[in-house]
Amino acid sequence: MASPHNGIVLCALCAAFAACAPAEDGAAHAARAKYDPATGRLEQIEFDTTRNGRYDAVGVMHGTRVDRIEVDEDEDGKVDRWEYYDEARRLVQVGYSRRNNGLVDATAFFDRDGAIERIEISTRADGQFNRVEYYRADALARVEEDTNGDRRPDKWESYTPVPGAASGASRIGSAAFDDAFRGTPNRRFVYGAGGGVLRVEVDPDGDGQFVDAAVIAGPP
Amino acid sequence: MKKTLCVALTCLLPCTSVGSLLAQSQAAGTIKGVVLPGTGVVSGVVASSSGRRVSGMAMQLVNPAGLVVGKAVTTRDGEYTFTPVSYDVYTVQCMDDDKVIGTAAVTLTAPMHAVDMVCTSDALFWQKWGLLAGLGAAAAAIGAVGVVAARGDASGSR
Repeated sequence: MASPHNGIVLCALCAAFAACAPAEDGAAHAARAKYDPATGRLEQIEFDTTRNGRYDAVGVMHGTRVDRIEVDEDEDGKVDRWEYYDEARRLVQVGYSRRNNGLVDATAFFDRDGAIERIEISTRADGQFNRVEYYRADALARVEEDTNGDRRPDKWESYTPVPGAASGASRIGSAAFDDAFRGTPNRRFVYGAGGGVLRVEVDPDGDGQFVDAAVIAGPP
Repeated sequence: MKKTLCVALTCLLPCTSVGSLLAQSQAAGTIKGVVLPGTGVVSGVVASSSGRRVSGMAMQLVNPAGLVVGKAVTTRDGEYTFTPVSYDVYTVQCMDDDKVIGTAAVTLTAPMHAVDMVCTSDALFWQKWGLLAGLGAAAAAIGAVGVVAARGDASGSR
C-alpha cells in the first residue's frame, strides 16, 4: 500500500546509508539499477565496492526489500559471497565459495544480534555440508564432521573459551572419533589447558559411557 | 580364467602401491626415507574454514595413547607429511600457539594415507561482512529507492 510515510522513511534510510559510505572518486562506476518493466519494481542494483571502475556487487531487491547482495571479491566474473538479509535488513546468512568457483560450499549463519551461530562447510565441495562449526559469543564451541560421506558425524570436537583472552579465542576440550563409523564415538581425547592430551577414553560398546583407556587395557 | 585374473590382480595391487610410492619418493620435495612393511605415511593438506590453504602450521601425529609420535609444518601450499609410522589408529592435530585448533582421525592400513583437514584458524574471517551500507549508498546515489517510493509502493512487500 502506498503511504506518504514510506517515502519519508526511505529518504531517511538513503541519507543514513550515504553517510556510512566513503566519498566517490572519479574512477568508480555509478551504480546501476534494474526495474521490472511491468511493475516498475526495483529488482537489482549493481555497484562498485572497490571503486575501481568495475561492478563487483549486485544487490538483489524485492522492491525496497534487500534479499541478498552477491559479491565478486576477486572480480573474476564469478560470485564469491552471498549475503542474505531479513526484512529488518539484518545480515542473517553468508554463503561463500571456498574453492572460488562460483558455487557455495560454506555458509555462515548469524543470530539477531549479528553474532555468528554456526558455519556449515562442504569440505569436498560435493553439495553435502558435512562439517558444522558451532559458535557461542563469537568463539568456537564445537565441531561435528562427517569425514567418510555416510551423512553421519564421525568426529566431534568441543572447545571452551580461553579466560582473559581476546574475543573469539577458545581451546579444545575434547575430540571424539567414530573410527568404525558405527554412528557413535568409540574413543575420545580429553585435553588439558596446556593443549596436551590429558586422558584417553574409550567406549567399546557404544553406550555413551566412556572409560579410561588405561583401565580397559589393564596393567602393562 | 577369472581365478587366474583375480590372483594376478591380487599380486599386482601391492606391487603397484609400492611402485607408486617409490615413484613419489623420487619426486622433488615429496617424501623421503624408506617405508617398511607394516608402516605408512600420513600426509595431507590443511585449509581454513574459508578455504584458504594454511602455511606454516605446526602439525602433530598422536598415537592411540595420546602421545605425539610425529611432527610436521605445513608448506606454502598447506601440505604436510609425517615420517612413516606403523599401522595403527592415529589422530592428526593442527596447532596454533600450542593450542589444538583441529583434529582428524586416521586408521593407517596402507603405505600412504591422505588426510585433508579444515582447521579453525580464521573464525574472525566470517564476522567482517555486511555490504548493506554500500548498497544503500549506491541506491541513494542513483535515487533508486526514491523512484520506487514515487511509484506508490515502498512497502517492500510486493
